Amino acid sequence: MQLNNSFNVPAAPDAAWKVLLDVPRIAPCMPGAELTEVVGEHAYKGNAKLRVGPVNLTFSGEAKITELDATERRATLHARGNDTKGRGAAEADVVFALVESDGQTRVDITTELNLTGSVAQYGRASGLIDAIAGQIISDFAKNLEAEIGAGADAPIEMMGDAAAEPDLQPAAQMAPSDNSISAISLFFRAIWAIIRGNR
Amino acid sequence: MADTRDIEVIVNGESRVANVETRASLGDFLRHGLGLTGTHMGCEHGVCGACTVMVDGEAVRSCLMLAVQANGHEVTTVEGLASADGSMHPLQEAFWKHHGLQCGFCTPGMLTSLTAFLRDNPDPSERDIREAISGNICRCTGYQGIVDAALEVAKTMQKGS
Amino acid sequence: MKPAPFIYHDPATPEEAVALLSQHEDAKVLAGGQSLMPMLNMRFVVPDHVIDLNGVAEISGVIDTGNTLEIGAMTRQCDLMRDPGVNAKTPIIPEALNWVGHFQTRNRGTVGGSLCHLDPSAELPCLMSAYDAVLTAHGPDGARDIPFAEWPLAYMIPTLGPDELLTKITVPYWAAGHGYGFVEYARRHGDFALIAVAALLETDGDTIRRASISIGGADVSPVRLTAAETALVGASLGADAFKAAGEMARGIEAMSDAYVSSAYRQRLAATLVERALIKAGECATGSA
Repeated sequence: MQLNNSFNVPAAPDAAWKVLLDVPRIAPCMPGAELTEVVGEHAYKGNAKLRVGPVNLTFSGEAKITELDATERRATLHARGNDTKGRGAAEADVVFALVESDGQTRVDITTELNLTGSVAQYGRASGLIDAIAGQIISDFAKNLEAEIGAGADAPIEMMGDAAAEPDLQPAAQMAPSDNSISAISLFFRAIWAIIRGNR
Repeated sequence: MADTRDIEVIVNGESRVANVETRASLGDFLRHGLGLTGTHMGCEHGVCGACTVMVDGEAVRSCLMLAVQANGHEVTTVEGLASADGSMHPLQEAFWKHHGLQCGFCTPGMLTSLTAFLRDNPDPSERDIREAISGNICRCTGYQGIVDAALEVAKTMQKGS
Repeated sequence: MKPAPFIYHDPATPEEAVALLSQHEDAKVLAGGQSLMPMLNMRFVVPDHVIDLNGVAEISGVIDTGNTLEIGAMTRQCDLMRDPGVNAKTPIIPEALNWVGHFQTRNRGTVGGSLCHLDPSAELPCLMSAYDAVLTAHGPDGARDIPFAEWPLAYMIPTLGPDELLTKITVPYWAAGHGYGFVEYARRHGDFALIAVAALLETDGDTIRRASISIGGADVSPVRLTAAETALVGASLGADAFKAAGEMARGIEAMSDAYVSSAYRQRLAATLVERALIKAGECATGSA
């Protein structure tokens, strides 16, 4: 299934681009996501927890940036994980495209999501899996918007440092995510604390 | 190491003691643990009715109960309907007479469900009976023989004979 | 079709159950089992721990407090149907329960279990929505009351914390002589409802003075037709008022699935709202 999201940030495309490429920094924006390891340049291992009604799913796998076009400011993040209890797998290709508009940046996110195994059949209304995936991606977009926007408020030097050395600390130190929907607000608060310099 | 518990269940009037895995269903315990294979497992999600037994006299889906939940309770299966001397329960006689069974797969669930139902509803209409067996699926008979059998037993119970 | 292995717990009190929930992150609560056991059998849910509430006697049973009905969360659906007080003061409840599963599943299924499972087409959530029932949850920090309107959080997820237990449902009585109607449509008898409607009416002679209309099966949680309820107050009992109310149901948000479209659900809702109100109108005897 394909999901489309778009948001604006009050930052120049260059600043927004740097934050976006910092996968350990943006991973916490995904509700239920947790990075556990850096395996290479732009390649990571992690988990994503997701709740479909009474079913708690934990996908464990990898994410890596497969396409990077710094000129066009387009990147593709490919993520793939298996349910730790064997009920199936999820695979996603997330394309980020940054477009300048009036000194600000519009971020377009196109997600191609594929579910296989019994996780794909759950729910009598076929639109519900779409709705849940849509909710997660839209929460991701909202959190990303805040992350990029806040990152732009910080002094340029700080942004530069952050880009030079993607700091794994915040992601690794974060507690394993609670898969309840209200956890999103907790993540948001944690991210804000880090952005505001409470490292 | 599997999680297990010791249980004691009164099955068809007899005390049965066993050590079971906590994830084992009551139906599987009756069939594999106790060898009472009269209870049949059809859908294992509560809709076909083939697994129906009586627990403390109430008709329930044995596929949707854990064996450990029957600890300390009384269970009646289809094997417990006939008398000690082997003579059939009136409902079983009526099923035989009215061709209320062919392959027999749904039959134990039908019998236990109807036994409980007729005990609580001694004067049902045909519609009441059809409603009562709506949770038991039969692929063979088309239900008419089953309904006729139940109606006859109800009438007999009414007459008090 | 057998559950994956789990550790089984059978607490004897709500406090023990809450402690177990706090202790074990990956746990599922087992009430009547009529919804959870199928999921366990099919391995849709694979919890490490199962907490069986069937031994927690104190959260089962019904109490008439005079102006409310208090229903323990572990009360069996069949017991609620048979209770004489329930039949006298909240007659829509036994009426609707006839549509819940089959008599064999009602012998085990519980009121609390159905409300926590929160299937979009379940009858009990639809009723509790119509009644504006209050749900009581117990957690490590004590009890809290949740009005039904705030109960559904998302598809089949209530606003119950991971270490909270639903213990009681409080239903405020409607005036003696109130009218009630429950209608449901499914393609086969006993199937999940495509649309279910619960309607309650209080009247002064022929004039409606209070109305509640709850629609189940349309959206992820029951929908109250508040605009129609307001319009009915002051109206006369009769076909015109009920038809108008039904028409207002056409605009509700409705799910689309493999069986029927959202447009079909909307049309069905309009018809069933009208029929439920007709039934309610027929049995309303006015206030004493």
